[in-house]
Amino acid sequence: MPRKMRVARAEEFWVEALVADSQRVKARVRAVEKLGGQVVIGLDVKDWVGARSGQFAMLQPVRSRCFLPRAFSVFTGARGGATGIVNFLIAPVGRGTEELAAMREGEEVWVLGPLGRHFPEPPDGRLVVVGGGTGVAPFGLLLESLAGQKGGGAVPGNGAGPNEILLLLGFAGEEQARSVKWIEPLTDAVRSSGVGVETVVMTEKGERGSQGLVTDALAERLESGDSVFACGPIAMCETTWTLAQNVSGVSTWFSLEASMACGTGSCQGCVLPSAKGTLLKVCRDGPVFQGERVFGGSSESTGKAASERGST
Amino acid sequence: MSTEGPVDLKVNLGPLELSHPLINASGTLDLLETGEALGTRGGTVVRNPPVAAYVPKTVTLSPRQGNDPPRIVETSGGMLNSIGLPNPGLDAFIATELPKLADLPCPVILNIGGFSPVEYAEGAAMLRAAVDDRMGGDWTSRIGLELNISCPNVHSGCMSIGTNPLESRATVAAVRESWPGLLVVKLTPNTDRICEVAEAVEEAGADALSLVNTYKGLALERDSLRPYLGGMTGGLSGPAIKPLALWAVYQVYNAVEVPIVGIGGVECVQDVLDHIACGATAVAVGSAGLRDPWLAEKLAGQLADELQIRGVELGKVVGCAHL
Repeated sequence: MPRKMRVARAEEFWVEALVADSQRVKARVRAVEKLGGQVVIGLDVKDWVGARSGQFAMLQPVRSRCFLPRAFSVFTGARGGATGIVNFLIAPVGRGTEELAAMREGEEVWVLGPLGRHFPEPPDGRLVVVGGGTGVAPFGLLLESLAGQKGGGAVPGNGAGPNEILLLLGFAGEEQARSVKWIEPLTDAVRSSGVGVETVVMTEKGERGSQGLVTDALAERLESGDSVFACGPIAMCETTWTLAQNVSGVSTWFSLEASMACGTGSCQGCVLPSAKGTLLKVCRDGPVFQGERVFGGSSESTGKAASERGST
Repeated sequence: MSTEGPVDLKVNLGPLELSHPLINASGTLDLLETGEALGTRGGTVVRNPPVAAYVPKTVTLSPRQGNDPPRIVETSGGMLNSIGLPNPGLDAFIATELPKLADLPCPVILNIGGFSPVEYAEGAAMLRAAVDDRMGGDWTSRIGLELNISCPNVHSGCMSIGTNPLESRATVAAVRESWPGLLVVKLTPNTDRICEVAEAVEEAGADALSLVNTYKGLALERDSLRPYLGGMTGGLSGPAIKPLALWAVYQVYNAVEVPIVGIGGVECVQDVLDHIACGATAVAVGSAGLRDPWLAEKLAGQLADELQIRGVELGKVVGCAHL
């Protein structure tokens, strides 16, 4: 029964996401912070209407050699934050992401967003966040909003929310793990708003935190009744789903990735197979999906085709 | 010279009067989906469409799921798509989408695809009955029909019809019997017989031609060096194809009398002028509109400015590359 209620609740919030006042504007890069190979770019987005955890924007430098924009989760700055800046975490893995990662202060970016369905309001009880690599990005906003429930500033939530958060963050190595620097102050803020937060950092060789995969930590720590929000490589998401099936009463939501051309449902290019074998549009049906919807069938080809190829 | 007063951008496609020449290419702008995705401003998109006429995605008699992912990939100067005409089928389209499209404040050019001339004719007859039923009276100034005989991403029908003048003629003739309104036929450039096809469909009763659909192409996955797209091949669009599209429009303009909708590589106002100069009466924004749903309306504004600066009427530009 609790699970069903959560579903209904999630749907409510998703409906709310659909009335966001999204737009396409030129935004100036106000800050660039290199985190090893990754970059956080801070954009001054005029009239940004606020995003919720899991929502994304289509970004493309105004001076671009690419034809299409790329989709990125909003990292922090739900309402542009106190500074009015919306931050995106960018890993250069292809032409489009390389252009964005190489941007300098003062240059301009086209921003279309916020778009897509967000994570639901975190249910009561314990929330386990599983973030892998740049998949930590949507959880910046999540922590902001949890901190903001008492502190104000971010998009406010309605429910009582989680009483405890377990943040499991996995990275390939120390360089990739430098995004934790952006997460730490947010976890502190959530803590000072009265919610317990424990952060576990995993790296594959153990240069930072513990050695192993983030899903190793999940296997150890997942408990009956947990709610899981996950974002990261598709293998991580599939393992997360499988682990959740072995523990009773765990509900899961995943933010998934796919190459997108429009981000608004026009091209139908970003589809991935649902558990029922139908095709879901990542941009409009997601990018946040309930686990059952995507992984609930045979786990063979689930989500693979689209999800391993995100923003290049 | 039209240096006084606002520039007149009105153009006619058969019985449809467009407030300006900029429309969308089918499959590259879903106004209803975009409206919902963008929320409040999206509502504005639906109430105040960014196109002079709206062309929805291709519908077929039976529902189609479309091709397996991945379906799109960026290429140098454009993109390849292998979407494969996913659609709910004509019955569901008529029940759920047509009423919303009929309520749009701009003319709508419906778009159907099929796998034989008979299927196109059946689809057109169904749409005619549905539109008669919905709108009554004479709706031909509000609703048109485009035949997609040019999709490169399905295994039969469509492009295999549009590369064959005889089959194209038979398809258009069959549709013409039941469709009283504007009939546009969208041509494929994947043939050396585009002028023959254009002449054949004009003879069979087409009121206008739209060209080009995408160019068939291939992209490989960078590690495996195997075809990347789920449907193996895809259709190339974007600025990479603009010179090819202009050449197609230029040739077909010489071959037929009916108006042409120029499509291919339109990103900026110069591209619009180029298509018009080659012979296009209207111009469709295609995949460049994917990154900006408002592109067509922006280009229409820029076209007015450009005509004013050049001191020339729109009608004088049409086909001027041939002079």
